Amino acid sequence: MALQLKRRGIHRVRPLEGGYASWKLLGYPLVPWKDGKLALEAPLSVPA
Amino acid sequence: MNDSIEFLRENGTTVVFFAVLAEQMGLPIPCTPWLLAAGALAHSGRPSLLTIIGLAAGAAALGHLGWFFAGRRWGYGVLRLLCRISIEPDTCVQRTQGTFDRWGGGALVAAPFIPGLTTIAPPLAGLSGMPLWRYLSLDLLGDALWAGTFVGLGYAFGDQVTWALRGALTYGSSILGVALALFCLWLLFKLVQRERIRRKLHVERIRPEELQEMLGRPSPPLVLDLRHRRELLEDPRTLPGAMHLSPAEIPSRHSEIPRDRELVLYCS
Repeated sequence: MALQLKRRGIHRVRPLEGGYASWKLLGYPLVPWKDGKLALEAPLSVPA
Repeated sequence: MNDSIEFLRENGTTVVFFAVLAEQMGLPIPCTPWLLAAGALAHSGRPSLLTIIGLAAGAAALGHLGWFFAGRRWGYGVLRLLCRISIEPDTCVQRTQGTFDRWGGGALVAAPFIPGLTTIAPPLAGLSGMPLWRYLSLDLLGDALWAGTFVGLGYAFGDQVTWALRGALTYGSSILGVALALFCLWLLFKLVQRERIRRKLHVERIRPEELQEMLGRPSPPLVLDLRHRRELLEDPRTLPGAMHLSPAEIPSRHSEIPRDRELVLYCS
């Protein structure tokens, strides 16, 4: 997928190691999914 | 050699049943040659054409049923496991989901004809919550069409199949050797290709700890959630600030992705 994006001119791409499963496993914050749109309304700040 | 043909004539139904069951459960045992041979031998009426088709379809449905219930019970975990042991795990889950979304229940009917999809379609149907009666109807229809096609081909080209069968029994080891060599070459090509892509991406990966720290900065990277919509419905949460984009939407929506920000993407 990263290669596909690079082919479309998006070069600064980094895949998350372990994906969603590892983020969740480490107990890092998750926010409710907002259907369809950018979830940018969700808080960007992350508790330490 | 004639003993071998006679053995097939006597035990054809048992051989077909177990070969189909094993292959459809996901074991690397080819059952198509057995279906063709059984079709060719059906000319003598022992066993009958319908018996072989029914038996093969039943065995295939039985082989799939366990995966259907596993998908229903363990959801995406089963799909990920199946794709992990596939030769192309990077694209496996997404490609299969894409096929299922495009064709709906029809994917189950077509699945036996498409290598790889035949094992992955049943757990996908299970995790998507398809009712058992609908799943069984579609799966049995697909299995019957698939078995009917190969047994029918064996029946229609009985002389040629019998000739090939005799050849295979006579020169079996040489034919097997060539087939094995070709398979090894293909496998090697796929592994080299996969390793090349993996290495290219490996240097650019970001660790979760690093991302968490970066998300706290004044200008955080844009996080792109590439999970399938169905996975999101199963666990409707994303990373903070993530934008969801399914892989199929990339061609039409890639312009929404800002080029001046670093992009972190993740899937399941």
